[in-house]
Amino acid sequence: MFDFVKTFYSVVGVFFVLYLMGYSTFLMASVILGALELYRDHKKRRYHNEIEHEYYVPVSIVVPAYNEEITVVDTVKSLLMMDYRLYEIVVVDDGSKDRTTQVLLDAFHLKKVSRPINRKIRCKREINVYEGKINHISVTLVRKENGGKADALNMGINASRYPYFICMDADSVLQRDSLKNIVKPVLEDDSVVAVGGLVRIANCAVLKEGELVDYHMPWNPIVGMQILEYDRSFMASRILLDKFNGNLIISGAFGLFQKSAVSDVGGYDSTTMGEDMELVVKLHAFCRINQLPYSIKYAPDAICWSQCPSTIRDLKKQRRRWYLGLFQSLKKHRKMFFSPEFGVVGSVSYLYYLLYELLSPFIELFGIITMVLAYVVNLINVPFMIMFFVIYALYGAVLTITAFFSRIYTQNIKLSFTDVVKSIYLCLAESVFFRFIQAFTRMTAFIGYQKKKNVWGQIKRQKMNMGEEK
Amino acid sequence: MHILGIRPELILYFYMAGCIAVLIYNIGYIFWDRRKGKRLEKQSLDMVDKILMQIQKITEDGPLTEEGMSVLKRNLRKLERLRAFEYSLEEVKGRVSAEEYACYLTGLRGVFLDLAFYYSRRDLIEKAYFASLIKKFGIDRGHASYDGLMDFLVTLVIGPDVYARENALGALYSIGNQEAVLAAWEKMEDNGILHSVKLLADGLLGFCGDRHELAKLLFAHRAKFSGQLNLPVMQFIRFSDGGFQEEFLELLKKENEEKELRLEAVRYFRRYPYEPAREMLFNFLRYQEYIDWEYAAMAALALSSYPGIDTQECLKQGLSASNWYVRFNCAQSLIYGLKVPQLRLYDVYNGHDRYAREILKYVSELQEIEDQQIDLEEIHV
Repeated sequence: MFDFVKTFYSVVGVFFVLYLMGYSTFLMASVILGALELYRDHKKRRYHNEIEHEYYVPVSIVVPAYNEEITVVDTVKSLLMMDYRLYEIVVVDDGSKDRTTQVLLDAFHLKKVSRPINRKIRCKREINVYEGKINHISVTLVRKENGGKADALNMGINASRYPYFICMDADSVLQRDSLKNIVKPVLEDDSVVAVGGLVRIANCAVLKEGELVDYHMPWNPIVGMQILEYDRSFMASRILLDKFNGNLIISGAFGLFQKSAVSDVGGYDSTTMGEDMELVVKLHAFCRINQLPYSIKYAPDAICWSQCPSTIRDLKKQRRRWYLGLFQSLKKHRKMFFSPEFGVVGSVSYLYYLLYELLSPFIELFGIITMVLAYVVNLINVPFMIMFFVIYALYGAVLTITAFFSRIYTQNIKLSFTDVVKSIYLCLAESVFFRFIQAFTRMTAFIGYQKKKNVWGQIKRQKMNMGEEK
Repeated sequence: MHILGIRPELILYFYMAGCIAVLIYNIGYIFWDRRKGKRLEKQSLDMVDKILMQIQKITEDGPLTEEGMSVLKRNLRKLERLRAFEYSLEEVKGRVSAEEYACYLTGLRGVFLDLAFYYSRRDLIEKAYFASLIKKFGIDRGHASYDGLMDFLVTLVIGPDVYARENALGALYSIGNQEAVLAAWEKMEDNGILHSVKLLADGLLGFCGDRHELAKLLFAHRAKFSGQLNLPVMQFIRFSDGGFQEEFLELLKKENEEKELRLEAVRYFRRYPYEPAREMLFNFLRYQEYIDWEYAAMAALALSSYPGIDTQECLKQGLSASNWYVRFNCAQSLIYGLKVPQLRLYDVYNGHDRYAREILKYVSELQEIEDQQIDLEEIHV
């Protein structure tokens, strides 16, 4: 019996070592490649290796809104100041219960029109359509029956005029040059069907007319840890996956899509909680099955500033939604897994998301249980275990701080000494605590899944800091 | 602890060391970059004085001597010196007359010809940078024969890097040599290079020589090129030259021609109305159910340049099309383009087709919105 237990623990040990080594290697490769790529981009910009083109591709910006009366006017106002030649703004009010439509009508003097919507993608009915022209930019507001974020996005696509559209959140602000930068991959390669932008956390930034004027690490550790997590994720893994057209996620907060491609796949799926990931996976699947040349790119210099949850409660709500979205997409497209038709996307990308994102809470839980049992039967080297955890946490912190500083220098962001100290401390905290919050949220995500799967995930909103005098 | 002969903590130490190396590199780079910025500023200021002296010498004694040139040639082989030179020239531009500046730039041709040899052996970023300077300073502008600089640029055009290609093409357009542009097109075709149609078309509009001659030359060779290279030429012609109506109509009539090229011809006939094309445009709209809807949608827009009762009738029929864009474009042409009064549209407004009525009403509302547009400053939030 004891031999069996020993064998079992040997097998478990081997599994965990391989699992952790795989993850560490992936993160290490991502951070180093990300840093090199950002350095190369920096050098390219310095030596005029960029497309400075006046006649950009016309773009529709789709802003789905649900109970966004606090932030939506600032968002639209900032969108009207974009450094871009030809674009329109389409706001979709998904049957808000607050004054979202009214504040927009009051602020932008929009007029009611009898516009027939070209319904190429299925979505709930429009109630009213309003339009206006401000600074030669067309602004459309569609008020529709409530149907969820994906449904609102589909309505926005139907109401948009241009061949490319941008999806963004109503509580986000695009940096002034972000449209130029997100369109560049499309100009560089005609086969690009989608481009993901970089989402940064706005809670610690002051933006004036779409430009960053001040940036400080926040005192709130929940926000601070998310800043570091975003920097690591957007700088590292997305750049690595981008190298082989393997990104499975474009954040719903900021992405550019070719309208015809999105129409071909039937638009956003309103039955999933992670409509952003689901759309990207669908695009991969559609193009690969039909053998269409395509690429899905990531533009790290196209920046969107988005608010993040500032309380553990809101954070858990958001992460739960993301996790369930991941589960639904991976489950729905399970045929991709190691299918030769899907190449690297079906192997490396799918495997990464399956092992290190979807299954990780269960693997971690299994690890904890086996450790406790091993302790009971005296099969564990406790000092070694503690040392290993400390090294692993330290490694995570070093990795995060490397990603954070790579981002800081390539974007010419100035940090004070206090910010540097804060970020080092937060890196350690993120590595130790944040991971557990995340793991717990994921483990409990399926509770109430059937009941809440199609509702808008709302977090507490606050006005964006737009650098106004107080 | 050993598992599979691996000590996992050692691997983690190794990875950590790798990350720390990147971190140190990042921090080091921040300081090095700051120092480099200051050095660049100093070098640029030094160069400004030297360039001003050279310009004065040229004004007084004529072109620079070989000796004066060779110092410059040697210096500019270093990338950072070339960058300092770029900034100094920008500064000098504001301090001397346009003629003196142009005269100095003309004298630089020899220097750049020499430098092309050295920069052709550098990495792609540096090559692309060198090409961008040829464009920026109009080096070789108006040079009729094919020279080493053009050779350097054409080689870059067929390289793998999109930025290098774009900079090289930009430099070729700035030189204004049609033969060199044709050579670049041929090289791209031969090497299967796919460059953005939009970039190619807009780039051609920046051509500094005779645009009509360039259009004629590229269009005359169109049989050699794929649609990917012909489409930008046609778009360039649409924005710059009305003298291709006959050729474009020929192309439009060929049903086996690529769809994008034929659509481009329809767009051309909107910009440059051509009576013999009228019937063809009518037919695209009349028989829209049997062809791709894009032809009908484009033809509906193009017909706004062909006034007449027959056009109005054709567009009114188009308002009943099943495709939203065809209906919308017909309504736009009737209301915006042909400015048909409401009275003449009475039959549609009172007809049985709800879709036709809706789209007409919407387009007339758009006209009101257009008239009442506001400035952002007027918005008080």
